[in-house]
Amino acid sequence: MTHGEMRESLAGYALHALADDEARELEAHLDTCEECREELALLQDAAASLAPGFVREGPPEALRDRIRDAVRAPAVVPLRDPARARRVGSPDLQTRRPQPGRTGLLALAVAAALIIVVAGFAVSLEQRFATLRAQVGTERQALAVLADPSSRVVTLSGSAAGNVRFVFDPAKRRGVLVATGLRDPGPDFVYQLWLVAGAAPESVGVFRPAPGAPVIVPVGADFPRYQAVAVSVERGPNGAPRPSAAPVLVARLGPD
Amino acid sequence: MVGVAGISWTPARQGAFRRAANHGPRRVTASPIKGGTLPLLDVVDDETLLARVAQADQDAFEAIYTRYSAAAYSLAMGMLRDAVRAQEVTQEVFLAIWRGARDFDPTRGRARTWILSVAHHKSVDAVRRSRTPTVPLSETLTSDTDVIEAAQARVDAGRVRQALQSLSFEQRAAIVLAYYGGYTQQEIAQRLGVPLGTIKTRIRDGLARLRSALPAPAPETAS
Repeated sequence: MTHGEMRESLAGYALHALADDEARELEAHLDTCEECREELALLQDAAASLAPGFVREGPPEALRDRIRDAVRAPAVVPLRDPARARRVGSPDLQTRRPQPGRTGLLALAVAAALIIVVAGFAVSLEQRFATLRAQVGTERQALAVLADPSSRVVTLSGSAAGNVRFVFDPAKRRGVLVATGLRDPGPDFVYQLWLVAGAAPESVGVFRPAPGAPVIVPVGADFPRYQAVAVSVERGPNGAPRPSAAPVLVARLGPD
Repeated sequence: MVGVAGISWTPARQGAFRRAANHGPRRVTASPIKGGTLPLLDVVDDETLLARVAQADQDAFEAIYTRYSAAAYSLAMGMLRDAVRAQEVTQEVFLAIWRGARDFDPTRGRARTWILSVAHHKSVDAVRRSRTPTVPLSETLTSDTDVIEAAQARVDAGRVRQALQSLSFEQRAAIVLAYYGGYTQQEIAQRLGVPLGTIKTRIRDGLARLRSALPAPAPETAS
């Protein structure tokens, strides 16, 4: 699509009325077009004004408790995107459409269990996950990475026991760390995920293992910039700006 | 330095460790409040709360929930017409806010818009998953008028209804079907038998007009 055509799609995007592929194409354009980003912000304000269109009623109070419990679950740590963080202070895209949701822990667990089973059979992933995606519907970002036939899978190895894989799609700059069987690092510590470029590891985020459930850490980054992905044990709850010790797990991201 | 399969890895010097605990990951959004408990959670603005949520502040998250849970739930209820599924969607919305707050940049838009956009997006996803859209677009509806009346019958709030009345009939149809019905532009064009370009134009012009018709939104209050 041309810039003009993209611009004409902004209103549809603000209403979440574009087909998925159209929305993705527009998002790629938004990455490079400040004019469209500004226009979109105005259109999204207008779209938001439609939100109170129905009879106002609150959810049952029990929902608050459910959500509170979900938020406190160990695997649900807000994560940063190194590609975004590097742009702090420069124009960014963060008012555009919210990132595909990372929701549905059960769906995640299913997806993660499947990726561990089928990782390495990338050719058939697309079909398997097309089915799965229809079933679970929610964890779209992770699923999209797992399902994409151009995604690559590397297994992290090192001193820590566990089944830890990193699935990433260099073209679409999306990746997912899927970890099971990691030991609890202790109450005061967390695992911290790093992308390594030269001698300068960049923090992606921290996570704690969830008993009996896989941990999924979505990562957006320009993967060809990095030589490796690594995990270290750091002081919780926020981890460290630089690794304080050698990584317990590492995998190269280089070409096959 | 530790060499791992050719990867150089330079741990921070001793002493950096303590600083690390205070820094945490770099922040995407800037918060005017440093550390400690956020005072008067019920009066700080949404932007500040979201910045705190981005730092995993559960109190700020609860405050956001208090402000926006009714808005998110009402929208989901209106679009899905199912209390259980509306609760599921509301949970998805707030987990997405919890995990995605770092993606919000206050220099690029309002927190309220971002939150309500997350809420709408999740409801749209749920409607599309269900394959039983709540706004009937069945073939038995023979005219645009029927379709639009059916869609609008669910839009209750006076202010929004009034704003929609400021649109042309065709614009209103496209906007209502897209926003409240969860249909794509393509689906609307097919169902109404109108070229896609025409629907895009109606949505674009209609939304631009809504922008000027609607007064500044009142702040969200607790449900």
